[in-house]
Amino acid sequence: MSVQTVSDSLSMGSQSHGITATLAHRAGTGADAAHIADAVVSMWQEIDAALAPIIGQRGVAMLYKRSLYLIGPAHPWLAGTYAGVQAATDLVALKAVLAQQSSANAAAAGVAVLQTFYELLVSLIGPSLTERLLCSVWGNSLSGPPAQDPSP
Amino acid sequence: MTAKVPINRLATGVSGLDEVLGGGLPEFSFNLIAGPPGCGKTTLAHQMMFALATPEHPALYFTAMGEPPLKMLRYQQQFKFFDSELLNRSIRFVDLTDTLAGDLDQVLRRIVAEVEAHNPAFVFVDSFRSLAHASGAAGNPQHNLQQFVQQLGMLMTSWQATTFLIGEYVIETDASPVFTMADGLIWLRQSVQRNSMVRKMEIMKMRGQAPLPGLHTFRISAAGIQVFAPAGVAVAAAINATTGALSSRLSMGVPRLDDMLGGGLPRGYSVLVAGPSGSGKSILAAAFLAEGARCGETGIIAAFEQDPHRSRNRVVADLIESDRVGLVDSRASDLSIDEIVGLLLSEVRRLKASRVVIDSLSGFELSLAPTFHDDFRESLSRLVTAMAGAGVTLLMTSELEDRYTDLRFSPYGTAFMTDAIIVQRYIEVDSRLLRVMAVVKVRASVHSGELRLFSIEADGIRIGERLPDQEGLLGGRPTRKRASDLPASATGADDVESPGPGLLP
Repeated sequence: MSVQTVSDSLSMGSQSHGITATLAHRAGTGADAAHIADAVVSMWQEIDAALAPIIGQRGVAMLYKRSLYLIGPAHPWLAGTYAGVQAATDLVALKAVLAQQSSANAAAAGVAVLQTFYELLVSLIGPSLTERLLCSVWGNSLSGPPAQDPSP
Repeated sequence: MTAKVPINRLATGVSGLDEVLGGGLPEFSFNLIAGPPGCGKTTLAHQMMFALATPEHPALYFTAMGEPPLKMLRYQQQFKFFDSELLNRSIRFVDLTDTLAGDLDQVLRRIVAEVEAHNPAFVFVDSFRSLAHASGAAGNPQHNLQQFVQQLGMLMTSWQATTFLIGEYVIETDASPVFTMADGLIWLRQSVQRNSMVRKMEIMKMRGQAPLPGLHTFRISAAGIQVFAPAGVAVAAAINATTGALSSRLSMGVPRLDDMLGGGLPRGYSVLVAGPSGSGKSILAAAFLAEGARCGETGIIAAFEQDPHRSRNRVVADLIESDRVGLVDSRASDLSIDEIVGLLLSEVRRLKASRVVIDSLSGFELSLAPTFHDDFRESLSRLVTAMAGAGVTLLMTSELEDRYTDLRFSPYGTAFMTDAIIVQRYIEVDSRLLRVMAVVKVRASVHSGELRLFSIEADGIRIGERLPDQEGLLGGRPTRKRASDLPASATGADDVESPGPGLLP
């Protein structure tokens, strides 16, 4: 279910950049919301580790907050998480709120916030630099199985 | 032990900067890049870093400033030198903002930790001023800062890292202890006069070598910073393109004019063609280039016209088209003399050119930034010297207001700088406007002193006869001599100042 769900949410963004694939790969087939939440959080930890030394913890947190804001209308249950972000990305809150959702919702929101963050970064520093800085996060998954086409 | 330690000098990758620094950047030096906001400090640092850093000799770039690193990356990547591929390989950015809440000791510990972790050959701290400000909160700022800089300098030297502190300083005496400690001090400025802005760089010190003194103009374009080293240095670096010896002469491409010059213009000379508007200066310049092309030589024309679409001489246009004449057509505003000389010399090198035309000096003066107008004569003198150093033959045209009361050759007092002068004038004879031309000066050479009529035909300039029965030609309104004054042979060459070998009949 979950792999399919994650792939489904791909159709929202024009480019997955391995986000969906990485998430599907990490959560595993048939993962429940808790596993999806773990996978999402592990990606965020790596993003934070890759970017915070360069743009600062606060810099990452602000982009994270903006991403939550942008996907807010589609996922109103994330509003509490948005409000909680201060000087650092609050992954505990994100994990908790994702785990309470259905696996489909958790996957959709998890991909959406990552995708939005990615696009936000691309809009600021361009695709090649973004790819360069974040390749460690999903670089390995690119060699994994390709993302499936969305089901009709 | 008598052997002195050799200081390696690194190529900075910034065009012209190595010359200005006095032969590159000394390895392991501790440098300060200073200047007011917007003068190009961060760009200079980035450009050097992208040129210097390699996987074996990586660079660490610490950011601690008002400008968020995201913004810096956003704007710096617009430059050609910015290569995303180098990030996290040869180049690592480290944000210090999170550490800034603490004191300078904490910042130093963080820098030490990063340096130990990545073993960089190059370290940049941008901006150093933010550190100074941040430290201001805790106790004795000046003392702390001085100690911090001293420790940082010691650390970097022992780690064999070439270091740059980038700082925003408006007043030059500000934060002087830092200036004392630095091995190198690169000061960037923006000089504003009227509504023009010219960027200037000064190497206030560079221990271990002799930087070029004075202010050096530079420009920031998509390619990054380009420093214009003084013309004299550029010449030393230029390949001497000339083949002929100075003693040989070249043809001007106008029949009879070579004879008037005493057998052509000596190679490597500079000649000023002065005359009123429409007298045929540009046509003479075109003939000069065309003759070069006919003899298998290449040339350069520098056109400083305000209107790029103004039709150019057909002959010259064809030569430019076939790349036998290079065009230096900088319409960039606020040029500096060093930039123009640089442009000319690079074209001279590219085409191995031997003839250079500047058409005209008035346009040249207009294209210079106002800040250089006061020094126009010096500028011109450097240009002429640079061209002579490059071994090319230089022809310059100069617009000359026709004043019939005095005999002037150039509006800039530049006549003494050039080796030869050809002057063109209008005269009125029998209610017709005629043109006359004369060779006024050819340094160290005999030449004719005749005033000869000339006309501009479809195929170029045609030099005619003298007007032996007229006098007062330079007054513009000659009068017929009285018959008794006429010499026995009216067409004789008696009034030739110093008869040359190819004297006209």
